Amino acid sequence: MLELVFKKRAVIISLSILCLWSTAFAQSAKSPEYMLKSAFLEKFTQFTDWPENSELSDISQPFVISVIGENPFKGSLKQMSQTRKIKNRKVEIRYISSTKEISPCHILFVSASKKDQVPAILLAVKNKPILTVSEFKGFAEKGGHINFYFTKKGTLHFEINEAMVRASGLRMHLLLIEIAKIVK
Amino acid sequence: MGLLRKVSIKNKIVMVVLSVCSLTIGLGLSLDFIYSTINIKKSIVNNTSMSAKLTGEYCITALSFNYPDRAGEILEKLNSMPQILNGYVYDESSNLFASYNKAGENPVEIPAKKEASHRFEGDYLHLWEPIFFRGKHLGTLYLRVYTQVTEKIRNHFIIMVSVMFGLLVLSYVFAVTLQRIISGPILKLAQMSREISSKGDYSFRAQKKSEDEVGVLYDEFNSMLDVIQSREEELESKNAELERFTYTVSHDLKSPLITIKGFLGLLEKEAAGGNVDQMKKDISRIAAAADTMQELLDELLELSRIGRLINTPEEVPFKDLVDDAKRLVEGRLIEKNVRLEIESDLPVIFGDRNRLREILENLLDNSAKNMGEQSRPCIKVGSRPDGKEIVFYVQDNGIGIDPEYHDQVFGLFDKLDQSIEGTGVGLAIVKRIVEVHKGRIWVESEGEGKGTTFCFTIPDQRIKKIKEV
Repeated sequence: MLELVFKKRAVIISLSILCLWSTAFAQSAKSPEYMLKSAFLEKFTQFTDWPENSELSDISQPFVISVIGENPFKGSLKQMSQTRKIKNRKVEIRYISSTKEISPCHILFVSASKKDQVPAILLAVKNKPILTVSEFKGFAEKGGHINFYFTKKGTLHFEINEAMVRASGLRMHLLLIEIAKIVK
Repeated sequence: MGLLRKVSIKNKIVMVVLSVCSLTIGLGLSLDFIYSTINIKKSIVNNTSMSAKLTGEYCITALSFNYPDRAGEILEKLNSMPQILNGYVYDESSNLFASYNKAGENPVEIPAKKEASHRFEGDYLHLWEPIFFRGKHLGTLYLRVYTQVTEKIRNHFIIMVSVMFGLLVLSYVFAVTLQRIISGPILKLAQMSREISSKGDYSFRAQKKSEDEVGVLYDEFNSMLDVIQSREEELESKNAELERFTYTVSHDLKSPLITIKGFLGLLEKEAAGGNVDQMKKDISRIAAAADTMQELLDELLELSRIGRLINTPEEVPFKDLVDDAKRLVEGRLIEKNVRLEIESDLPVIFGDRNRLREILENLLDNSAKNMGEQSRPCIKVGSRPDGKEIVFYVQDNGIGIDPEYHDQVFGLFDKLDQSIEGTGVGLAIVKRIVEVHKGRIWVESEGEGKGTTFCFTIPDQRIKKIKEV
């Protein structure tokens, strides 16, 4: 519990320096940690390219972020989707529970509540251009693409399983890989 | 230019070459210096800008995900480039995001800029490079660099001045060596003219080595020397002639005078004795001597006139001249029973009609007088082509002249045979007339008893051949 408080403080400090979001967003009552994670999700898309010939490459269609399992964002993701555009497209957030509902989407956020079903979920998206993101220890090692974690300083950071990203057909900018902790 | 008056032509050429060289080299190198200075600065800015772009590239994720520490780590890597003293990253709102100061360097207070720009401050370069990712401005990288630009420019300047100095020395050596091509012949000519005027020897001739203007100068110099030399020779011969003239005139005038004086003395005695017959004889001898003097003086006057009094030159058929002369010496020809043969095909010549006639008159008279014991005296007059000129001749079959005396016959009072009548002025007059007409006259004779041929030329472009009617 004490650790969590520490983490939260660090996140607040980071946020205050960052000034990433609009004042309305910053002032909202949502959890600062998930506001930051929402922001990071949007940043990831800046450094990642989805294959152009997939069923999702139609620019007139919205950019889809699916959250599988219990939604931890508490509206901050929704807010991001309303204020931001990703790849010049509108953003659509879907909340799903079963692996059958996953496709089609660009980003799949795996909630910690689905921790146990990770192998099945990953199997469902295997070799598909879907960026999998989660926030519990071991996700990347199991084959997930990006996993959030907090550094000892309390800063939000992320690890990347570069081989799995490459296998999925996504193209990730070297600068993003360079800054992340690499997991094999 | 007053200062240059005493400078030798050698040094003048060197000076001209060096002035031209230093002007062109100086101008060229100055332009190069300006260009290089601009280029040195440009290349420093370009290199720094390149480093800034690369560094900025690495800062993209740090700025995106708000990792100032990460940006700081990247900036730390600038220490591999010791010339970079300060490096700052500003975020998109121009707030300081991360900074790097080289060990021992103080942080600088510098305004953040969003656009690319640079500014030199002595040896220091301030450079701002915006950081973009996919068209989005994320922030700015600022670098402060110690460029040594002053030293670089100074080094370039030193090299340039050395090169210029070297080139000038080279130009000087070349100019000194190569100026001889121009000055050599001129100096030689100057040296020669000095020698000629100091020694008074006009037989020197300059040896031309080139066909340029100096070559022309040599030719003109030589032809001037020719003229001077021939004038001098002419003057000498005229002087000698004048001396001889004075001597012979006084000598030849003296003898009738002595005759007159002698007979006057006799006349005095005879007057006392009352010998009238003898007196009459003596008086006639005195009169004859006076006549001789008169004739001598007349001819001398005539001779002196030739050079001064010239009638307008005209075209004269040579045949007319011969006919006129023949009429004037008819008496002498009849007296000596001389047959005159005149060639039929004679040209027209251009000159003073009366004087030209005198030539033939004197030559015919001279030939007729010198027939000696010839039983069938004959004189031929004609012309023959000789190269480009036409030679006229008066040929007789008289006593002839020993080749030894061929030049003497034209001398004043030079009578080879004193027994023959005449004053000895006739041939001198002929020679003068021919010379006044720029012609030549000479004698052809194989010796005594073999006849004489007088040849002469009257050069003129207008000489034409005409057919006798």
